[in-house]
Amino acid sequence: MNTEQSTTPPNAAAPRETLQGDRLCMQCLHPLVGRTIERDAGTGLLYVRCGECGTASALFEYPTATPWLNRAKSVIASTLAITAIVALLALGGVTGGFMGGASSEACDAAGVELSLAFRSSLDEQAKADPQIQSGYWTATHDQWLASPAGQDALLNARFGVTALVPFALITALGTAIAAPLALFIGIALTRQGPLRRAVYAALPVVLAAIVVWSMYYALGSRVAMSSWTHVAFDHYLAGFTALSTAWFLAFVAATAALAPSIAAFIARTILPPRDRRLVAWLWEWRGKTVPRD
Amino acid sequence: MWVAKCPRCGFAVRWNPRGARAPLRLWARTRTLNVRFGIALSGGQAAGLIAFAIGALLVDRRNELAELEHLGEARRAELLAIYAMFAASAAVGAAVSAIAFAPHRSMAVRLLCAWLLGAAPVTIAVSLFALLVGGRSSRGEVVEALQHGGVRMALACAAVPLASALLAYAMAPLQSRLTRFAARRFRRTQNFHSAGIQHA
Repeated sequence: MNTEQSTTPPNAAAPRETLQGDRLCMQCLHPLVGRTIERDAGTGLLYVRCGECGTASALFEYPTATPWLNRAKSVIASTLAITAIVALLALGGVTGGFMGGASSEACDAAGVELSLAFRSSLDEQAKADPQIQSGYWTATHDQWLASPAGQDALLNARFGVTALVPFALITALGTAIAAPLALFIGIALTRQGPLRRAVYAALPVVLAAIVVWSMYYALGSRVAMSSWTHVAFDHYLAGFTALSTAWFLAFVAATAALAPSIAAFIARTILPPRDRRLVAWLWEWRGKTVPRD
Repeated sequence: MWVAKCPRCGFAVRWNPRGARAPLRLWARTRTLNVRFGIALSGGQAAGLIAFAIGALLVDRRNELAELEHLGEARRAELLAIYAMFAASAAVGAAVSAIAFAPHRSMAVRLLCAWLLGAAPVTIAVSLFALLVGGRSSRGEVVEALQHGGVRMALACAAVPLASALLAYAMAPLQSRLTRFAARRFRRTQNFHSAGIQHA
């Protein structure tokens, strides 16, 4: 049977019966049930013609899974879209949580450092003072903070290892958790340019930062200075939060912008050339050819 | 389009040999890649977890590590035996991972893949989590261990990837022979025109 024969209705054989059962047109997925079964004169091949697009579909052929694969495309696309939305929300939650967590942990550690500096500056008589021993905030604390020694201690505690180590550790853990999410979002946005990828991925981080900063301004500024932790929060929280916000924004934007290149590099490294056809879209969506080396 | 017609009853079927086999080919390649990545990532992640355990062991036994030569024979043997067990397990995991990763690349690149893509993310994530949960005391322990036995710890840690590299290079010829044997056997059983099926 040639192409010309398949597009023109055969006149050799008269219709015998209609198609029963669930069968779709290979071209437009229109149901073929009820269509007249015809036989090609040259080959004897049975076929039905689609009532919508006119395409002839052979009744016996291999493979027959094409319509189901086409149907699966929409399921896969919607699953990917839902996963991308969940990944965006998760990215915002992770970065916001670790932003706030790293900053508050660093302030806690700095508060302990300040407390130790204050204790070491006291003479024996002051240490024996019942009010100081009770741990309540007194005028002595305020006087010490205003003194040059107190100001030096405030400066040292900000850049001390005690505060920076937990800050760096928590930020690093948050970065490790955010990295696969940023990579996924960047790969899902491969068709967009690098700038758009960076902006879209940075958007949930910006929203998370707005929430964290709002909480900081709503709660932080209303707390009276009654402990070393509060002093540390008052002096350091804004700085640490700004630092972690800038880091997460820069990291997520850069990772999302470079995500397709990173994925393509990994695929090129670990996949042999003939298997790269399975992920050819990593190159083709960026207007490149699949590398063969 | 090809039409295959039965010589006895005249029943006709549209037939595209390559098209008919395409889903099977895709499924077979995907299955192969899936199995290979499964082995590669599992081996690498196991090596990463065991590498974390080795680090924890070295930090925990930092005092004994600092005075290893002055320890009693039994204590030294015990410490070294535990370390050797973990190190050998990590090396085997990483070597298996390297062999399964990227078969078209050099062994050095495959080892890098095993340690960087498989092991490192697990080790880093678990170590960071442990340091955070442990708090200041555990961070102090790590610093103390590095100060007292830093060189020995570095040597003990470096020995693991080195051992995995030696093992991978030693296993590579055996693995390639096994792969070729399995591929040849698979082709013979799948190919109608092969000598194997004709004799069968």
